[in-house]
Formats: sequence, structure tokens, C-alpha cells
Amino acid sequence: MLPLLPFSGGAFLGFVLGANDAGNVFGTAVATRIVSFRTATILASIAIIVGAFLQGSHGMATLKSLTQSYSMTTLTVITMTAAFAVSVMTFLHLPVSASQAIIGSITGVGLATGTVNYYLLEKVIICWLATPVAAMVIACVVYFILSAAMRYIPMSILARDNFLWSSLIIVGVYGSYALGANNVANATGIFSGQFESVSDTHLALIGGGAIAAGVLTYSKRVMMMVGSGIMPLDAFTSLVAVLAMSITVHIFAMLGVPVSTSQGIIGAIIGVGIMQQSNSIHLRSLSTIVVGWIMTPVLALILSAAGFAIFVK
Amino acid sequence: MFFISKKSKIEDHLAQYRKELLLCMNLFRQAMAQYIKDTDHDVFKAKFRQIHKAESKADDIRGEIEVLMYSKGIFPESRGDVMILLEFMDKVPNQIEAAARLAINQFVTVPDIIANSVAELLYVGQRCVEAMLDGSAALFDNYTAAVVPVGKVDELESQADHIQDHIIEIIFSNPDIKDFDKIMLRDLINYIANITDRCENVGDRIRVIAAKRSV
Repeated sequence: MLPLLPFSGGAFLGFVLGANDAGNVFGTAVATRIVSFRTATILASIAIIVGAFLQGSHGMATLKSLTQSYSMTTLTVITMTAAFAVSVMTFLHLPVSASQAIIGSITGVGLATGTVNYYLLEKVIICWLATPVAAMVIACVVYFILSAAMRYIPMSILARDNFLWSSLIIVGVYGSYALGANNVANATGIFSGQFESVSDTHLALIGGGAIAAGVLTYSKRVMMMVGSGIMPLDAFTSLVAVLAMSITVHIFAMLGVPVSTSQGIIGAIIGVGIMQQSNSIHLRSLSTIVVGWIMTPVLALILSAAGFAIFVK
Repeated sequence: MFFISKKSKIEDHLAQYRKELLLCMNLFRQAMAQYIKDTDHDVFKAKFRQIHKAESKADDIRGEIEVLMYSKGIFPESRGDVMILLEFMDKVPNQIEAAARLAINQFVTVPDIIANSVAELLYVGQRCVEAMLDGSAALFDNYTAAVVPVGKVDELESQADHIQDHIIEIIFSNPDIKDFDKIMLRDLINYIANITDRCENVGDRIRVIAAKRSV
């Protein structure tokens, strides 16, 4: 039988992750009515579960290395404080990363117990910092290649629409796959190796299912908002940004480091802005995003250390 | 496959629309050429009916395109762009019909002194319509190349303006033409020259549509 209380925290994290992060892959396409919300969510949900099932194990192995053999109460503290930190950040309208929340919570408990794996934590933090930078560089390369192709391949404006429409769906599905593969560890990775009766495959399916549930039920508002935050995107720039983010997140999924799709998409959008020599990047939005990036793990760390001190010690 | 067939259906309709628009201009030029030589109202009326028929057919095709544009796979932005383009293009056959109607209803007679210049204005007008149609066709073939014929439209429009000014100057400096006829002739010349102005407006739209998609 599943240990329900700690799992509910993980499932809630997965749910919030799905509700927030689906906007990063299908947001612009849905907001600009290129793809219907129903089509986007169904495709995203299936791809997320497939990604979690096929490639989610790498990220789970990383989370497993960061954790010890915890008691039920400790697991509950970690998942619940991470979920609470995500909720607080969402309430404050700050961009939130479930990866940072869960790692922050694990580190909080690790500091309280003196069991922090600093080597691995350093690797994860470097990957977090590298995510927007990598996405930005990949976006520049993708922009260069795609724009050259679109300039030199003769096509009508309607053929261009067809191309972008099909590409946005394919890339959206790929991005959802990468999201599932990379981020499932945030939802249920902490339970890896904690219970004999629960395998990583079970965890991947539960986590993938929780993320998919978030996408199917609560992602509409975020999807409609995405794209207007940092700079306005059209179909082409949206395709470049989502593809760059998906490649980046997929690479990190293969490396076994859970990263944030929000950070990926923001880096990718900045890359697009650089290529377009755009002066429409909203610096104020960027500073809010950076504050969110710093606050999420710090808040989760403080909450979990406090939670551990109150409920476990 | 469904979207590809919708797309080719729209493109076929647009090609048909352009064909009717060109027919309108050809008929008008032929009618005016005949009218300048021999002011036979019955012959001109017969031609006018043909122009009106072509203009109505173009209107019908435009309506069908508008319905087709609401299919899936066409971005709302492109839908809006094509609708606006059609709205601007539609003003060209309307202007042609209006010029023909003016000549026929007000029994305007073109004096020999300006006959050649009017024929030249009509020729430039026809070339301008053709260039405008080439530009709009390019949007549905290779949109990056659409600006080339649009440049030609601007050139021809400016040429038409010069001819228009020249004709009006001749009309008003000629004591043999009655004052009332002068006004009617001026209106007719302005109506004909306005065809190129309408083409220029279409050209501007084409330029905007292509620029919006430049990467």
C-alpha cells in the first residue's frame, strides 16, 4: 500500500508543476489560438507520462543520491514544505520551480541532520545556473538555422502557417516529453528506494500522472499568460523558444539533473530577443523572475529545516 | 492532409479572384479604348455589364474565401491579414466599375486632344493592376519575393499621377472645352487614376504582410 501522506505532498508538487509548466511548452500556441487548449493538454499529458516512464529514472537516481533513508515523517516534511513553498511563491505571483523547491527542502533536512551531499548539490546548482544560459545559446543556434531555412525556402504565407502549426505541435509534444522525463523526479523521485514495494517505474507513473492531472485541470490560466511576461512572441519565435527549452531540458534529463522548464523558457526567450536585437525585453519582469529563482529554494530550505526541527526531532 | 487541401482550396480561390480582377481591368481598358474612338453608348453599356459581372463574381469569390479562411490550420493573424488584403484588393474592381459608371451615366465624351494621354493612363493603370496582382500572388507562392512587384506598383502609380496632372492641365488650359465638360472630364480622369492609388494601397498591405513574416 502507498504511504499516502508523504505521497500526497509529492503528488501535489507534481500537480502544481503540471499546472504551471505546461504553459512553458504549449502556452504561446494556446494563447494565440494556434492550438486549442483541449488538444494541447491531451497531447501534453500523454507525452509527459511517456517521458516520465521512459527517461524519468535518471533524475530519480540523482534525487536518491541526495537523500538518505528517511522516516515517513521526514518524507512528509520534505514533500509538504516543498509543496507549501511552491504554493507561497505562486500566491505571491513569483515564478516558481518545483525542482528548486524539492532540492531546497531536501537540503534543509540535510542541513538539520548534517547529511548534505555537497558534491551533488553543487552539480545541481551549477546545472540550475546553466539551464537559462544553455537554453539561451541553443535558442540562438535554433533561431539562426530556422530563420535561414525560412528565408531561403520559398513558401506562401499559408504554407508558412501550416509549417509553424505542425512544428508547434511536434515541438510541444517533445517539450512535454522532456518535461515528464526531467521533472517527474521532483514529484516522486524522493521516494525512490524508500519503500520496497514501490519501484521507480511505479514512481514515474504516479509522478507523471500527477503532472498530467495538473496539466489537464489547472493549466489554462498559466497557458494564457505565458508569452506576455518577458517579451511578446509570435508563432515563429515561440517555436524557437519552445524547441530550445525542450532540447535543454531533455539534455538535463539525460544527465539526470531535474531543472526548471520556466528557467529554460526564459533563457530561450532572451536568446530569441538577442537574435532579433529586440529592445522589448521587459527588464522588470526579468528581475522578478531572478528574485523568484533565489527565493524558492531558500524558502523551501528554511521551511523544511524548521519542519524537521518541529515534527521530527 | 485535411489542412493541406484547405490551403490549396484557398489558394485556388485567390487565383480565381485575381483572374476576375484582371478581367475587370482588361474589359474596362477595352471599353474605354473603344469609347474614345467612337462614343457609342450601347457598345459601352454592353462592356459595362461585363465589367459589372466580373466585379460581382470577384465579390462572390471573396465571400467564399472568407468562409474558407475560418478553417483550422490558419493562424488568426494570417486570417486577419488575408481578410484585410482582400478588403483592399476589392476596392480596385469597385473603382474600375465606378469609373465606367461615371463615363456611362454622365455621357462623358473624351476629346481628341487628350485621347492618347487617356489611353496611356489606362495602359499604366492596367500594368499597375497586373503588378499589384503579381505581388498578391507572390504572397501565396513565395512571400519573401512579394516586395519586388510592389515596388513596380509604386513606380507605376507615380507615373499615373504625372499623366493625370498632365491631362488635367490640358483640359483646363483648353478654351475649346466647355467648363461643365471640363469638370466631368476631370472627374473621369481622377476616377481612372484612382485605380492606381487603390493598387498602391494594396501594395502597402502586401509589404506589411511580408515584413511581419520576415525573420
